[in-house]
Amino acid sequence: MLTKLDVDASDERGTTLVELMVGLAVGMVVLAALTMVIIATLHGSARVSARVEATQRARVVLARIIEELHSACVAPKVAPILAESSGNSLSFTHAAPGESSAVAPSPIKSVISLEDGELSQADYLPAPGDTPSWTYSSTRQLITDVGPISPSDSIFTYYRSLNGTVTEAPPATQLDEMAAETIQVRVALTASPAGTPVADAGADASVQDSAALRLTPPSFSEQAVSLPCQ
Amino acid sequence: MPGGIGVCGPAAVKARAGSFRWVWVLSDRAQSPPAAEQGFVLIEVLVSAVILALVAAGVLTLLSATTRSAASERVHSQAYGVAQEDQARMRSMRISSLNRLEEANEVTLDGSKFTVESTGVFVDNATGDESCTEGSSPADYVRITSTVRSAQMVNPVVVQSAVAPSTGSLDPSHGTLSFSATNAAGDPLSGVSISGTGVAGFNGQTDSTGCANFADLPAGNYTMTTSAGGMVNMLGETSTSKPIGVSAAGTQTVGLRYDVPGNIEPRFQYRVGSTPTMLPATADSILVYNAEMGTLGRAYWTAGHTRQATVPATGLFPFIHADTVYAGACEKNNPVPAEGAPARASVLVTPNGTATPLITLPALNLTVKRNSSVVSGATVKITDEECKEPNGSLVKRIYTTEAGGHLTEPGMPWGIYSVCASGTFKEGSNNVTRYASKTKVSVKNLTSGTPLELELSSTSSC
Repeated sequence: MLTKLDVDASDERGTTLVELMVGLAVGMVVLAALTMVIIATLHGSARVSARVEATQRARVVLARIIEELHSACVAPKVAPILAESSGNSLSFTHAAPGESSAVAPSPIKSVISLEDGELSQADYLPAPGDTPSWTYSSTRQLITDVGPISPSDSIFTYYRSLNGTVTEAPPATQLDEMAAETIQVRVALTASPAGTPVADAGADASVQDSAALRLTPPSFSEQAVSLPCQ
Repeated sequence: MPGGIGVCGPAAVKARAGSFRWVWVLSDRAQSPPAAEQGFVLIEVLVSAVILALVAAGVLTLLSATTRSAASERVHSQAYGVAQEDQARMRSMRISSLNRLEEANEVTLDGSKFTVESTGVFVDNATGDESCTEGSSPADYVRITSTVRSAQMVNPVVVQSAVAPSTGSLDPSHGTLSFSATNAAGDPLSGVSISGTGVAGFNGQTDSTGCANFADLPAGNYTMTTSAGGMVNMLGETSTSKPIGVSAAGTQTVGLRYDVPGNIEPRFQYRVGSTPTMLPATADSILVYNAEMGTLGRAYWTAGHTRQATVPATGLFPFIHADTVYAGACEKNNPVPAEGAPARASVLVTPNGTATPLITLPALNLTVKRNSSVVSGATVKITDEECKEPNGSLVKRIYTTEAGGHLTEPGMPWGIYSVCASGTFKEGSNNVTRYASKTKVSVKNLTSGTPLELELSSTSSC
């Protein structure tokens, strides 16, 4: 009859150590893999929530700009887009928020411009007098950490009707006389999530929408010019 | 002490190796040589690692599924935005460009590629659908549809809205052509090709509602061509060209009916005298008529054609009501009275089917004699007194008498005939021709035939 002590002490020590080491090594490998998985998951979920946040921020601003453009036709045959508009600065007139009188509308002028990744809106109130003139009222920051969808693009794209088809107005520093023919404005922007500790380009969100500045479909005639707010 | 735990020797461990219970491993280790144990412990560690890996794989799958669904949600919301933008784009287009618009564009947003299909159709206010059966008012509004697809989405995002034509957005000198295609049962038929030339051109196919609207066509005269694959219209034509006019600010509605054609191959029979059974007959022409055809019927073969056991009528529209078939070359051969019913077959034409009705022909029981003895080989010219060829002359059929002096084929279309028989005989060294004729012979007896005896005696031809 063998006793435990007779066998244990001499035979098993080395083996147990090897086993232990192998076991540890395998365990480490598994743990390392698990840790990687957890890190990847955390990273992914952080990116998802950052993206959601960026999308939320961008959507709110986009909806606001589009809503204001939709309220731009305060009177028939008014050209709401102003000549000083350019690719990264939209200058237009629209109904003042909360205005109820449609008979004698007094539009306000807004300039939405992009500067150093910050989109802000400056409002101007109409000044008394016959010729339209504007008095600066206030500036409000719309969104930060924002830019065009690709560096070569601009945030605002303007469309006009040319020979019966809607075509993109050629990109220029200023719209100038083309502003009077602009019947559609496209807004496209990319927003980065605010308050992310590490910059992550993959978390940026792009949104785009268009607003038509027409009250009715354009005329059947290809020669007839399709002007805004008709 | 070997009892208790001791029973679990190496053999027992091997036998239960599948269960991997630590208690046996530990007990083994206490009693067996180390060489035999090393492998087991390692294997068990590896096995546990595998199990762990499996669990991890499961968790990982779950995680990736979550990520995928989040990504899909995001792509969906982007696609919706793209569709909205496309709607705004279409709103600034002219109505005439929107009508029958079919455009596909590609948009890349945040690295996801979207395909945008923009369509516009004139729809009707009453049904809210593309309609071609409503009155003659111009279409009420244009329904614009943006369908956005992406490889990352299973289902496309579809956004629809309507644009109402306002004063001045439609050319008052233009009108609408509205086609409605149905099959024999009256169900909508899609895929009927419609094209037209004239003041302008148009081209298209009927959709799943059987409709094809061509709005905003300049008023004037057009030639329209319609076809539906191998199908036939009510007159059996696979392709038709017809003139059609478009009136200014109006809608011209055109109904089209196409279906898979069927065939009728009638057989004929007759009876003369007191013959106990009906005998098979032949015919040279038939007429197929259906009230919905709107014409007098379709003729197959003409009176001059070789008489055969059947006259195949092919390419017939499968009307839901039966067609009437009778032998003859014109509608005067139609056995209208009640007693003429067996001479007419009423058959339902089925798509791709062949009906073989049996038609009883009235017989002319003619006996040609000369000096009271029957004449064989006499020529009998039978003229239909009421039925005219397309060139205006009366329909004529030529028969020859057989050994009994009777017609070889006594069955003939229902009608009133002039019969003229002639035979050539040798009188001395000369050949003389003798004639006999009878007019207003009514061949309308289906049970025993019309008896007629002609004595070749006259010298004046008929």
